[in-house]
Amino acid sequence: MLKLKDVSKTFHGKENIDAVKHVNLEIQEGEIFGLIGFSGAGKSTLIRMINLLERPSQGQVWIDGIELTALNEKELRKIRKKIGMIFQHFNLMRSRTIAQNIAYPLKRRTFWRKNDPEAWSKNEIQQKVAHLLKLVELEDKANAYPSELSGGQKQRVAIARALANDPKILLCDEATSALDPQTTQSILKLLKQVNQTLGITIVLITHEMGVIKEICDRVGVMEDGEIKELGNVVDVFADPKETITRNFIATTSNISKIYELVKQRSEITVLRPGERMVLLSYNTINTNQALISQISRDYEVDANIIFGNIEVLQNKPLGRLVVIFSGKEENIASAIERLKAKEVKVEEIETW
Amino acid sequence: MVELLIQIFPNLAKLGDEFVEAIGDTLQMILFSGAASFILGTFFGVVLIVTRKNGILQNRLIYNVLDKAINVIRSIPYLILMMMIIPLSRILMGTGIGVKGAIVPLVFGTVPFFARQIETAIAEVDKGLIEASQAMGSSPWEIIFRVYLKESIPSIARVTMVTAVNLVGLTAMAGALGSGGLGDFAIRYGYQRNMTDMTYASVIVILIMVSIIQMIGNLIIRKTSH
Ligand SMILES: Nc1ncnc2c1ncn2[C@@H]1O[C@H](COP(=O)(O)OP(=O)(O)OP(=O)(O)O)[C@@H](O)[C@H]1O
Ligand SMILES: [Mg+2]
Repeated sequence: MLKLKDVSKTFHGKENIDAVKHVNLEIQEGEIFGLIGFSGAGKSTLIRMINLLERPSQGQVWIDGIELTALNEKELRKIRKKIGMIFQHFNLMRSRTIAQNIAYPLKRRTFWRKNDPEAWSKNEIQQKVAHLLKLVELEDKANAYPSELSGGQKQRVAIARALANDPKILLCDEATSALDPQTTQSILKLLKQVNQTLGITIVLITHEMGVIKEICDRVGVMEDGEIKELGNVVDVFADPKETITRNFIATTSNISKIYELVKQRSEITVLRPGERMVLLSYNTINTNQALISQISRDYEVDANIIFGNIEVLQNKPLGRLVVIFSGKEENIASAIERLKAKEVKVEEIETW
Repeated sequence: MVELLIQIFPNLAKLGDEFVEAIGDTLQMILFSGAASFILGTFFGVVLIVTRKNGILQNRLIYNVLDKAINVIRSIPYLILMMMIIPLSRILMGTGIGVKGAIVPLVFGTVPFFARQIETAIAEVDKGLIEASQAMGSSPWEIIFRVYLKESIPSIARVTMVTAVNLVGLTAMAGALGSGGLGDFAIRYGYQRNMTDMTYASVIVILIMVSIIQMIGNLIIRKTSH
């Protein structure tokens, strides 16, 4: 439904900055697509090119078979009403109440727009706003001003406002980056609900892997204006290809700690002769810790789990275990072969 | 009451009618030139904001011409500016003296100052808001009226108040060129005929006007800030 074709953006200043370089991206109807990258990677520039807040220097943007990059300003404004957008700093209007903020994008029926079928009467606006307020659970704040709301509440208002014209796509530029972890969760839950109940496609950008893990179906990892890695969240988490992806994943689990401990020659990482330390990663339902006890029985090896991290992503377990095997050398080797046969990824951890 | 006033300001006895007329003239000057300056100043202030670099209707030529014109006019001392404008006033208003003749010079003296103030006031509107409304499909017109102007009402009230007080001062100065009004009155009687009490009376009325303007301004700011 949304397609970026070879899209680039160069900012011309004292020196030219290639903020986005030749990005090709297709986003399916109804999915939640996440873009992650460090500051300056070009995420905001890319998401802003979807609704042409930023005009691409090159390339095309297509939504539902319409090439946005070929439209004039007036046609573009019409399309933008069907693309909601929320921001890190909410961007609500101080001079308007919550209800008035939400009503802002709705075209009012006025005497010069008497026969405009897209214009809303006062009554219709009132009902729509009430409905949206209920959706974001802020019915009691209709007549408050933004200054009286917390960050999370403000973002809920921004979401309601973005949904006012029943958009097909919702763009979220760091929508939770100014919020505490708990509020972040509640906003993510609301976004998921919006996606599932209203069928709205969501494109979000973030620098927190936790956000991706929480609600995204697919993820793109951005660095230096390019999408370096792209895929289903589960696949990318289970088997990251790029260093930057690994680094991001490392931020959400404690497994990376083991490498530090090894470096520091921590006691638990010191191996006795004949022992091997491995990192096991698995992401299928049939694999689980029982496999390890089974193997240790079958091959007469001891498996000492010194570190573990298991989480559930899209209802699938994603496990990472650091295990020290001890036993006969050939037995350990066979045990590892068996694990590999069961679709467990085995990585040797080099120790001193 | 009248008796008491005449005791304090003895010359009011025979100049009373003329004094009241002078107050009326000053009020008229403030009202007409104020209204014209408000509309023109707001217009030019908005033009500056939307045509500046990265503005919603960026236009270097318009911005630069307007920007320079404002700077030039503002750098001319007001008395000289007034004299320079008298011919223009004759063309536009048919006269260069009296209340009617004072309006054009007052507007010229006020608009550049006010346009700058409006520009500064509107510039305070968060860039993110403009971006959000563009993302919602707002047209430049909507952004000007429904975002820029609406969001800056408290700031506009504040700068309008400052400018109005300034304008009261200018009307008094216009008196030097025979515009009528309290300034003229104070010069003619208080200064040239040494009726010091008439100078004081004029000053007091001007102070009252300034206070009323500030009261109204503060009330609007308080009611519109959220
Ligand atoms: N309007 C602009 N003019 C010039 N350079 C810009 C502009 N906007 C962005 N850039 C540059 O483009 C690059 C990408 O910026 P962008 O805002 O897209 O990054 P980001 O991934 O969103 O980062 P962050 O996480 O900090 O928001 C940066 O080097 C930035 O300095
Ligand atoms: Mg950004």
